[in-house]
Amino acid sequence: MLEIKNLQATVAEKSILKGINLTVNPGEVHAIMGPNGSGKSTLSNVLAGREHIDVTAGEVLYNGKNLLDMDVEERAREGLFLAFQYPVEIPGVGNIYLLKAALNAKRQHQGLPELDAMDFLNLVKEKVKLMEMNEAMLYRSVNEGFSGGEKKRNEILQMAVLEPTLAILDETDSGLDIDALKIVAKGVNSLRSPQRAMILVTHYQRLLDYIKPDFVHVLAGGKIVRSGGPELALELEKEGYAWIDPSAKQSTVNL
Amino acid sequence: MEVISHYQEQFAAVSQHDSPSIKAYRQRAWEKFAALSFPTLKMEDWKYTSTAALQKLPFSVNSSLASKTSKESVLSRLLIAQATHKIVLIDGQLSQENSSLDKLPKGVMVKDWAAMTQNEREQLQQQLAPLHHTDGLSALNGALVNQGMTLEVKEGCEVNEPVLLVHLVTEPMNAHFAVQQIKVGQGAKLTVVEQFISLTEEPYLNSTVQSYLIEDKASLNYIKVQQEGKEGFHLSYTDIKQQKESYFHGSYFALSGQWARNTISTVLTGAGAHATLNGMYHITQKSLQDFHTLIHHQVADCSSSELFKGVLDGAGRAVFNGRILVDQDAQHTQSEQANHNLILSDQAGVDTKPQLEIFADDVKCAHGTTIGQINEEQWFYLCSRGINKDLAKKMLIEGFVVEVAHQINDAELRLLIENLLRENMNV
Amino acid sequence: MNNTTTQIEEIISQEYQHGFETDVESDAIPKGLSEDTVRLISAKKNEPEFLLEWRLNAFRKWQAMTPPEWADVHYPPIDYQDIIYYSAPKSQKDGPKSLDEVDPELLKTYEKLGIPLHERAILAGVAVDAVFDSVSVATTFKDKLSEKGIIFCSFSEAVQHHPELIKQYLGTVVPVQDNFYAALNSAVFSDGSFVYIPPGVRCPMELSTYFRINAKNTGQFERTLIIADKDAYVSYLEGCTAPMRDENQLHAAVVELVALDNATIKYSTVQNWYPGDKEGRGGIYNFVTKRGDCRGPKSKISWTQVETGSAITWKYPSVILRGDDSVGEFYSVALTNHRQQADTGTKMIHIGKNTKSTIVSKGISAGFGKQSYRGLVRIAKSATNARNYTQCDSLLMGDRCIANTFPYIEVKNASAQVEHEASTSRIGEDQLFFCRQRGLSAEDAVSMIVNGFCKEVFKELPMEFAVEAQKLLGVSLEGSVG
Repeated sequence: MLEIKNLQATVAEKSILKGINLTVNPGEVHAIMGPNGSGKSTLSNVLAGREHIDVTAGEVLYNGKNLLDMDVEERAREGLFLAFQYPVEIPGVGNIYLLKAALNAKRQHQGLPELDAMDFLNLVKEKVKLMEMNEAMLYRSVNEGFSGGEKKRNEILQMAVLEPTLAILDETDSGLDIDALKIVAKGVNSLRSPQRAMILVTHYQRLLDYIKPDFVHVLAGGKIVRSGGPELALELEKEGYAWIDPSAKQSTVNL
Repeated sequence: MEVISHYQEQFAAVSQHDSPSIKAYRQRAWEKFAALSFPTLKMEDWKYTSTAALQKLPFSVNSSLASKTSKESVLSRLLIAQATHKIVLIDGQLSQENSSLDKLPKGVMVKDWAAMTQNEREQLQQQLAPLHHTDGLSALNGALVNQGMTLEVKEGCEVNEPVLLVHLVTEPMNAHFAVQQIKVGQGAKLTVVEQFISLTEEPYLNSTVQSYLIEDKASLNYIKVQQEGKEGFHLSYTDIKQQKESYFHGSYFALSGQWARNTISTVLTGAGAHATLNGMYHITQKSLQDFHTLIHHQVADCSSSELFKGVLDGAGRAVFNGRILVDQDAQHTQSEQANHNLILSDQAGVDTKPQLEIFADDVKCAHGTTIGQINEEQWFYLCSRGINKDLAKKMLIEGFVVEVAHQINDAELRLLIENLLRENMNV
Repeated sequence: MNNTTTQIEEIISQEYQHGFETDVESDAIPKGLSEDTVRLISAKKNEPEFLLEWRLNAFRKWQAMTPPEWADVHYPPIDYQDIIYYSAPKSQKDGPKSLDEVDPELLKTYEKLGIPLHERAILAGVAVDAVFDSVSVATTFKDKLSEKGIIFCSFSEAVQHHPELIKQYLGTVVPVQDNFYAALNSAVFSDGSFVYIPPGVRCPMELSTYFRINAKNTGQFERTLIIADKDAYVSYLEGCTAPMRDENQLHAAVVELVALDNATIKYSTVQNWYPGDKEGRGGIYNFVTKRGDCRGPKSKISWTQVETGSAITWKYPSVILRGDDSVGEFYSVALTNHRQQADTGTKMIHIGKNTKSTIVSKGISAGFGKQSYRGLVRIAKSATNARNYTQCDSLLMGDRCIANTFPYIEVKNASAQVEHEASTSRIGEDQLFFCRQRGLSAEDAVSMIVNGFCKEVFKELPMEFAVEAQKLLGVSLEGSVG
C-alpha cells in the first residue's frame, strides 16, 4: 500500500530525512519510534504533504501512485489521514461542519453522492459514542477551548468518520493521561481492519501497550536504524535510545 | 500672537554667540515654528491636547543661571542618592558637585552642552533636524535650544550600574530647551534612569528633544520618572533607532506636573530587534498627561510590546495614542499593545486611541484597551477579610499600577520604582 | 416592443403615479449643480415649500464645505458639475433586452450565488415577466402592513402623503451640514425609503428594499428615513448580495433612524456594488452617512453590515444613545480584495444613563485591498454607567493588502466601562493545512475559515441573508489564495 524508497528531505535547508525505506501493507500496524529530533514528525508531515518540507531524493508510492505528486487534499481524499501532534484550533467553524465538509469532499472524490443530513448525523453520533465524547462538542468550534485530551480524541473521531486507508498518528499519546490514552487506543483499535494500515509515530512505548504494532522501526538521525517486531519496543523501553545516539542520553533518564 | 513675539526676542538673545552655521540652523527651526505656530485641536495629533495654557505663559530662556541650591537639598530628591554614576543638571547646567562620573567605564563618553565645541553642537543639531521639524513646538526647541548632553557607550562596553540623569529646575517661569543624544554601540549595554524634579511650585517649561541609537546587539534599558512641579510643563520628543538584534526597554512614569506631552517613537530597522514601551500616568489635580507613541516595524522578525496604565483622579485628563506600524516587508512581526485606565474621580477623563497599521500579511498584532473603575467584587472581598475600605482601595490601585514596574529588568530598579509608585499613590 | 415590456412599463408608471405627475419622457435635466438645479428637482417632485427651503439651505451649506480628507482612501477629485442630478425613472427601453445582452461575468457570479433565474434578470435590469411577480408580492405585503398602520413607501410618496412626518423628522439625526456628502445628498436626494411604525406595533415581517421595484431607480443620492414610535419594532434589510448594474459612480446616501421610547430598529445591509476590475478601474464610490438616534429611554438600534462591494467605501453607521438605558450595536464584516479600499466603522455617542453599546468589526483584506476600521466611542459627562465593548479583528490574505485600526475612545464620565480589543493576523497556514489534510480544497478551506472568522456578525443577520452573505464572501475571495 505504501512504499517509501530512499526518501530524503530538508527543512529550511537542513537535512532531516536521510534516506528512509519502508513498506507498509494493508492490515499492518507499524510503529516508528525514535528520540526527539530524529525526524519522526517530519516523516509524518512529508507523507501528508506539508509544504515547507523539501523532498530532495527518493519516492513514495501510495497504492501504486506517486504520493509526492499529489496535493494535500488529494492525498486526504485518497484515504490518507494524519492525526496531528498539535491539532489546530479554528474559531467559529463548527466541528460537525468540518466533519461534514470533509466527508462529502471524500465521497465526491469517490463518485459517491453526498450523505443526507440524517444519515450523516447518525454516523457521527455513533462515532462520538465510540470515542466517549459529549455530543455537545460537535457543535463547538474546531478544537477551540478543548483540553489536550479532547483535542486528541477529536482527531481520532475525525479518523473514525473519514475511515482512511492509511492513518498516520503523530505523537497521538503525548499529553494524555492514562484514561484518555485508553479511550484513544480503543478508538484506534476499533478501526483496525485487514484493509487499513496504520503508522504510529511515538517517542514512548506507552501507546504501544494499548495498540499492539506488527512492526517496530527505530528512526534516528533521519534513517531507520533498526526494525523488528513488538519486542523491539520493549527493548527500547529498557535500554532507552542511548545505544543509538549518545546525545540522546538525556531522554534515557526520562524513560 | 503676543507669545510669539516674546519668543522671537528670546530667539534673538539666545543665538547671539553662535557660529553662523548654528545660527542658520536655529533660523530654519524658527521659521518652521513661525509657520506652524502652536498646535491646535484641529490637528489630528493634537486633537485632545490643548496648548492654550502654554500659549498664555511667556517663559524666558535664561542660559546663565547661577545655582543657589545646596548639595543636601539636591541629594534628598534624587531617586537613587547613592547611584554610582550620576549626572545632575541644575537648570540645564551640569552640577559638578552633585554629579559623579569618574567611575564610568572607559568606553562611556558624556558631554554636556556647555562643554561642547561649536562643531559638536552643530553635529548634534544636524542629527536632530528631522525631529526638530516634527511640529511647531519641536521647532521651537530647535530654535531656542540652550542646553543638552550626549552620552555614548562604545562598542562592546557593558555599563552594569545604572546611570542616573537628573534635571532639576529651581526657578519659576523659565524655559529649558534641551537636546539629548544617547548612542549605545555594537554589543554594548546601558541602563539610564532619567529623573525630572523641581524646586518651584510655579510654572516653568521643560522641553527636550532626544534621539537614541541602539546598534547591533546592543541593549538600552531606560526609565523616565517625571516628578515635575505642580505647575510645571513637560514636553518631550524622543526618536529611537534600533539596529539588528538590538533591545530597548523603556518605562515612562508620569507622576506629576500640570501639563505633559511625551512623543516617543522607536523604529526597528534591523532583524531580530525588540522594543518594549511601557508607561504609567497618574493624574491627580487639574492636570494633563499625554503619551503619543509609535512602534515602527520596518523589517522582518522583530517583536514589540507596549503596556500603558493610567490612574485618573482629580479633575485631570489623560491622552494615550499608541500607534503600531508594520511595513510591507516586516513579515513575522509580533506586536502587542495594551492601555488600561482606572478612573477614580467624577471629574477625570481619558481619550485613548490605539492604532494598528499593518502593511504586511504574516504578522500577529493585537491591542486591548479598557477604561473602568475599581472592581467592586475585589474591593468587597478584601473588606470582607477585615481590611478597611481605604486600604483595600489603595491595595487595588497599587496592584493595578505595579504591573508596569514588574517588567523592569533590573531587580533593584524594579523594587525602587515599585516603592516610588506606592508612595505616589499615597498622595 | 413586445407585450411584456408594455405591461412592465405600465406597472412602473403606476408605481410612480402616487408620487409625482412628471412625464416619463423627459428623462433628465442637464448636468451640473446650482440653486436652479435644486429648485428644478424639487419642482419635478412636486415638493412642498418647506422641503425646497430645506434643500436650498443644504445646498448653500454644501457650497462652503470641502470633501473630508481624513479617511484613508484615495481617488481622483470628483467634478460635481459633471453629474446629472435628476433623471426621471428610467423606462425599460434603456436596459438590456434579454440576459444574452448582459455581461457574462455578471451572470456567472449570479449563478455562483445561487440567485434564482428570474431574479437574475431583474438584477441585471432586464425586462421580463418576473418583475411582474415581484411587484405583486410587494403589493400583497403593503396591504398587510397598512392594516397595522405601518407606512412603508418610497420617500417621494411619503413627502406627498405624510409631509408632517417628514417635516418632523427629516434631518434631525443627520443635520444637513453634518458632512460634505450628507449636505450634497440633502440638497439633491433623489428617492429612497420611508418607514413609520406606529406605537406598540411589531412589524410582522422583515422590510426589504429588495421587494421594491423602485429601489432600482432611487439613483445615486438615496435618502432613507425610518421611525419606530414608542414600543415599536422593525427589522429592515437593505441591498442584496448580487452585484447590481449601475452607471453612477458616486453614491452618497443618507440613512436616518429614529427610535422612540422602548422601540427597536434593526437595520441590516449587504452591500455588493460593482467593485471595479482587478486593476482597480471603475467601481462605485460609496460615501454613505448612516446614523440612528435612540431618542427615547430603553430604545435600541442595531446596525449589521456586510460590505464586499464598491471600489471605495466610506461609511460609519452610528448610534446616538440619548435615551437612558438605550442600546446601540454595530456588527460589520468588510472585505476588500484586488484594489478595493474601505474606511468604515462606527460611532457610539453615549449621552443617556446606563447606555450600552457593542461593536464587533471583522475586516478581511486580500490582494491589494486596503482597509481601515475607524471607530469612536464617546462617553459624555452625562452618561453615567455607560458600557461599551468593542472587538475588531483583521484577517490578512496576501502580502500586498493593508489593514488599519483607528479606534478613538473618549471618556468624560468616571463610571464608564469601556473595553476594546483588536487583533490582526494572517490566515493561519496551520489551519489551511489542517483543513486540506481533511480533504477540503484550498478555496473551500479559506472560505470555511473566513466564515468562521465572521460568524459573530453573520449570526446577527436574518437567516436567509446570512446564508447569502456566506456564499458572497466565498465568491468575493475567489482567486485570492494561490
